[in-house]
Amino acid sequence: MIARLSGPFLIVASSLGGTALAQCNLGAEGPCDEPHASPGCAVTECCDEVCTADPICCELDWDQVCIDIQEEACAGLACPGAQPCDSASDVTGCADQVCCRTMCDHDWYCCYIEWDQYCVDFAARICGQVACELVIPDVAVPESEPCDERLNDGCNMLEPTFSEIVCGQLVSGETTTSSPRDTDWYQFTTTQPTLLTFTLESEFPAQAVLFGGPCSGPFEVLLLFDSTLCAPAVQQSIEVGPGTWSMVIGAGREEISLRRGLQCPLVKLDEGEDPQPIYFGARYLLGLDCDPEPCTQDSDLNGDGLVNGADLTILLAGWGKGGGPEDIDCSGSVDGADLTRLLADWAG
Amino acid sequence: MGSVPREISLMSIGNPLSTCLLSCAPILACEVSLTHAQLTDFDFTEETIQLPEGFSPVCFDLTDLDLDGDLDAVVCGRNVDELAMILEGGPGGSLTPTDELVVPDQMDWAEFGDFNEDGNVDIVLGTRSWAGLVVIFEGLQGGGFTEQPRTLRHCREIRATRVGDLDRDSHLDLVVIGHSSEEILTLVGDGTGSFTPGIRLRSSPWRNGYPFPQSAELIDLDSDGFLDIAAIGLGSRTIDFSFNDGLGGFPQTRSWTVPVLEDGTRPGCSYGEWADFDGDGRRDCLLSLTGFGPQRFAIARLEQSGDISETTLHPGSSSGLSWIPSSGDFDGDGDTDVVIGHALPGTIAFFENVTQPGGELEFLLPQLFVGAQFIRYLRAVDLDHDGDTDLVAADFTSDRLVILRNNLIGGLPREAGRNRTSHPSSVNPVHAIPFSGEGERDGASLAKWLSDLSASEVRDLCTSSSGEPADRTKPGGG
Repeated sequence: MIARLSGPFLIVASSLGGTALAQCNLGAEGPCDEPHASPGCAVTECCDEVCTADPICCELDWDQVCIDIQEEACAGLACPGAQPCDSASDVTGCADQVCCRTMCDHDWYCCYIEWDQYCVDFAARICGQVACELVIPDVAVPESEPCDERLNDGCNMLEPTFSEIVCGQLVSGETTTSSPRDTDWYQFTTTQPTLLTFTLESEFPAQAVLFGGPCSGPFEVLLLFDSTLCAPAVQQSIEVGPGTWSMVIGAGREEISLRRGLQCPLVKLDEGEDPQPIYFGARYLLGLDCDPEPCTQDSDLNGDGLVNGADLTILLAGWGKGGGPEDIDCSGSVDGADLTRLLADWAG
Repeated sequence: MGSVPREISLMSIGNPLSTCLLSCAPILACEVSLTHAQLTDFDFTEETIQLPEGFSPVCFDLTDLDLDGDLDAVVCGRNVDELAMILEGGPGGSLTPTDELVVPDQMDWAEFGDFNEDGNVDIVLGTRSWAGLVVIFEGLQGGGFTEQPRTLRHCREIRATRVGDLDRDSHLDLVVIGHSSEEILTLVGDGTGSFTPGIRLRSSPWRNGYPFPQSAELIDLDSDGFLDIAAIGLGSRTIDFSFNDGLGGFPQTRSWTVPVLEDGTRPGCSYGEWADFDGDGRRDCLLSLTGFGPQRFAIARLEQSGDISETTLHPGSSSGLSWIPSSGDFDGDGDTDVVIGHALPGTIAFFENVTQPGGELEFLLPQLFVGAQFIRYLRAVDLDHDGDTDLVAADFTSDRLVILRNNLIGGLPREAGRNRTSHPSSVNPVHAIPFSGEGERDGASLAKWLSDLSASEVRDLCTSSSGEPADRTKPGGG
């Protein structure tokens, strides 16, 4: 369901709120913090800022006036930097302008202080992703939350509210990084031991988290996985017993939560307001399939043809579990009734 | 021993005293009304250990470095001079600054441990700056330290480190709390002083704001003999238990949310204190809850399995914002009392434990000590070996450690030591406390704001009438 776009999908709106000045985009050279005879300087963002303040810096030369301006105006504007994005360095920014800006919007340290190993590792995960756009099938059920609302943020809300997902359903949703970052919580219930299979594909680095338990606690992360951009849906399965579960879709990866760059598709700007940067699309597809585990009601848990101490050991090891082969009477929990059943079948 | 019903306690510190909140000065009138009915007057002598100007102490640890029988200390702070201090312990529990350690940045955490197993205690420090640095000074014989520390680059904005043998290989390991990188990282020690990255635990990945892990304790939660991690998420308002699989891995994490208060608001929480408050032989977790209006603290009772069975809310102080908890048997009656350090003003509030055996947890109204602006850290310890529990506090803005030396059992006569509510201050009230808006007064935002303040910002708040918070977009620059 992923379609590759013919052109670049990643759109980086300059933090300055405008497009780069011509001179700054024409291969301007020379360090921004040293005078030089040519107009402009190598760091496009900084060059833009300085030349907006004093166009002469991009028309004649980069003199001391330009240096003074950049000292005031260029903190955190370090893209593109000098070194490759996959190399740690004690200077700011990296050579790929888009990657550099993406990273710095999520972790300002990479543009203010240095491009350290953390920047390198994070960049490896989110930079260079091929642009793509999800094709939403007709059968997909739209998320009940409008893009710019926070109606199904589950346990993150003072009064927890969830969307529903049912077995066999495919849900299409959107999540954004505008404050507070959107998390979509889908709640569902199983009444017997069930093999759950989730599928997730997305236009942004998405993370899926399966929770068990009430919001007040204890709640437990049972499953955590990421989608792979512009690749077929990631599929993950887990066995659960009877209970109520929450599947949470949010923006980010194991490294860190995304902090900028996911916007609702149509953002109305106030007059004079600069657009926020957009790095990824905001849509995802979440699927849930449920396969009730066949309950064999077989006390021969190790399949050796005998019901004996070895089976008892297996049952005791699974004591208290919510289902599974040790749940001999298919009650949804491994308990005394299963022990009774096993002892009744004893044929050691 | 009798008790004050909880309902009465709540009423006593409710609306009539709400005007006492958000002031830099201890509210003496409030204290009088709150403390006259105590069963026991906690009785301390206050001593001050002055640190260099601008040191801004945030954390300290105590141990006997030179094996002379007296506790010594390391103190770290958020100071531009990038210094940590060694304090030498003397007879009677005195602490005297003796050495400075030059550190690479501002430090939010300090802890002792012999990492290279040479018999000399080393120091581990965590940097507050965005570029997370774990800094280790190796101990020398006699209690000194190497001048040049070893640094390990991990996480963003380390707010705490914890020392323990996670994998039971008899070598000390480290747990590092990355406040801004939203992670808890284990560093596996090999007994030579070297560490290799172990497990990285993502903090509250479901959080739609930022989880901001702030602190952690290493404790065997499920009684399996292995140290587990009990972390506090300041932004997520959670206690996150990560259970050790016995090999230094933590495949299972269970979380609890800090309880919603009676008025429907959600408090923030930064630190937990683990002690047995109900006398059942198991440790419970004391949480200081930061919120608008009268403060609260909570006690989460731990089951043998490692689950929290019950969390109870208790009235806190109305003078200041709850920040750091500690505990000890300060009145010598055999149970564990609660003490909480506050900000704005920086009072230290003691709550006498009057829980009956097998009964509900009950604490009496607060008794307040110390006139300060922000108590950043507390530690209950018998500093002078006289058999009672003293308290050591880091006074963030006055560049000092404060010792409350307990007079109950040993020490000075009660008359000489009585100093409660004796520190009026001339500083102005704080009017502006930020919150997240959108209709909810958010205790987590309040706690986050407190956690980011530099000492100078606190001082500015207390001397300006506006109280506008400063720009804290640069964690290392405060």
